[in-house]
Amino acid sequence: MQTPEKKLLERIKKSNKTAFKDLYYIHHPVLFRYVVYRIRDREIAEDIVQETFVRIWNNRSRLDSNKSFFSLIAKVSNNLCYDHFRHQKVKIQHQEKLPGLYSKNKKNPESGHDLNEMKEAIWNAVNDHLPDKCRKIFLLSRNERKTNQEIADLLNISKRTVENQLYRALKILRKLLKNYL
Amino acid sequence: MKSFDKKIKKEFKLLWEMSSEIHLPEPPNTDDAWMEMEQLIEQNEVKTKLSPARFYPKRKFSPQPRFAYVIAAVLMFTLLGQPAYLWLTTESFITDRGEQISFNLPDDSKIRLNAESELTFRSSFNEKSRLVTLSGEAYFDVQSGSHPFIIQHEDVSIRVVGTQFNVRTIENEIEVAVNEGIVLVSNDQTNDNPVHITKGQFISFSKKESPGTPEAIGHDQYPGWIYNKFIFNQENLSVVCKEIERKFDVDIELESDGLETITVTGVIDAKDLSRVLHTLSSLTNRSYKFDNKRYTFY
Repeated sequence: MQTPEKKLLERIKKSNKTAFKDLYYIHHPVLFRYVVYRIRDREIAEDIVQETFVRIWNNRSRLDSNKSFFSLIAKVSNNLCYDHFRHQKVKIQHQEKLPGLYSKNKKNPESGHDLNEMKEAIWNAVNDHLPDKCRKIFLLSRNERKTNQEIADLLNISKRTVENQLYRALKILRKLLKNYL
Repeated sequence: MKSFDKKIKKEFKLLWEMSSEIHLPEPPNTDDAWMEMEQLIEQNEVKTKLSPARFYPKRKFSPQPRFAYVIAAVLMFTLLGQPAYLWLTTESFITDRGEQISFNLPDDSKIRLNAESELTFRSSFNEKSRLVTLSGEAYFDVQSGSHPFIIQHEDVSIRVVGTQFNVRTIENEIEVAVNEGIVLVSNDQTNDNPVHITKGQFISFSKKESPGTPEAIGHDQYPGWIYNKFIFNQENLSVVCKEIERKFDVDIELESDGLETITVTGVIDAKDLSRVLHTLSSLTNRSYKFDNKRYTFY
């Protein structure tokens, strides 16, 4: 059976811009949230999202309609994020600027941990320590608030896999954040 | 599903909740983003289609005229001489109401053409000079080059080297606003010295007058249409409505007397027609209705 996404991808391969527009409208907000979580800069995230779609359009003849489109754009945008970090060394600045996960001078436990500090720590840990696939699923779940079934559909994987990956992500995060929990 | 939820709640409650509370910027408006995307795609396609030496506009003739067209062109050329030569070697970009296009000239200068406008140039552009003619409104991002870049509108010429600025010619008015660099404006009808306009200044004058003295722009998102906004400074309602008609391809009528002399000042987001009209009606304290395919203020 042909899924709607598959049909759209087939039409995009034939340079149908309306189909591209449809797919763009479906995935643009999702991809933006996904990227901005990593980049933390609204404008750069916007640029990366646009560049991702431009690349998809330019290479439309090579699209594989059997594969999940979101997986593809997540991968392309991931690469663009890596490029960005490499070029700008923003990552280093971020780690210096932000109350780091690894800074030795933690507040003493009695004062209680600032919640924002914990959010920062989660943020850093997600970006730096989750494997790509795991991060993708985690962000779709926590940041996009998608249900496990929705994620499974979006990525063409089973719901069981989604659950396993989420569980794995949480275990990794718990280990890294044990000072906060 | 149930068992997964339970398990998560038991083991990771805090982490699970905290991770969804991280504050993130909202995604940009998808309509706007798509408009930008269309332009990016278009630019990319123009770039890949054109060899660097030659530039083909999309409107006048196809890049590879068929043999018959070549014969026809040669015939016309010999029969009609000069006018035919001019026609064949003139390239133009034209926009309708409600349409905007972006393109690059052969010297890589970027042009954004607003609705109901036309920009033409000769195919010899950039060989000995860089001359374009404009009617309507366009935003120029001119690359510096060996020849000065000249924009002509009837007798008024605007001369630049490398800069960013907006030119608007509506009815008898001409407005030039400069965002970067220096622009020289002169009017052959009055034959005065050219007026220098520098970054952050604009000038507005009638075709029959000399350009006068430049003033400060006073708004950081000027010209508004580049940012999808209307910026009005004590503008008559009739002029304001013309701008809206041009942008959205609609007809607007002012029903009662005295309406056209109401002035409008302010910045209006031009994303969506009904919101623009709504804002306008609250600014002017008048109502509007829609029937017979047109909007009427009363």
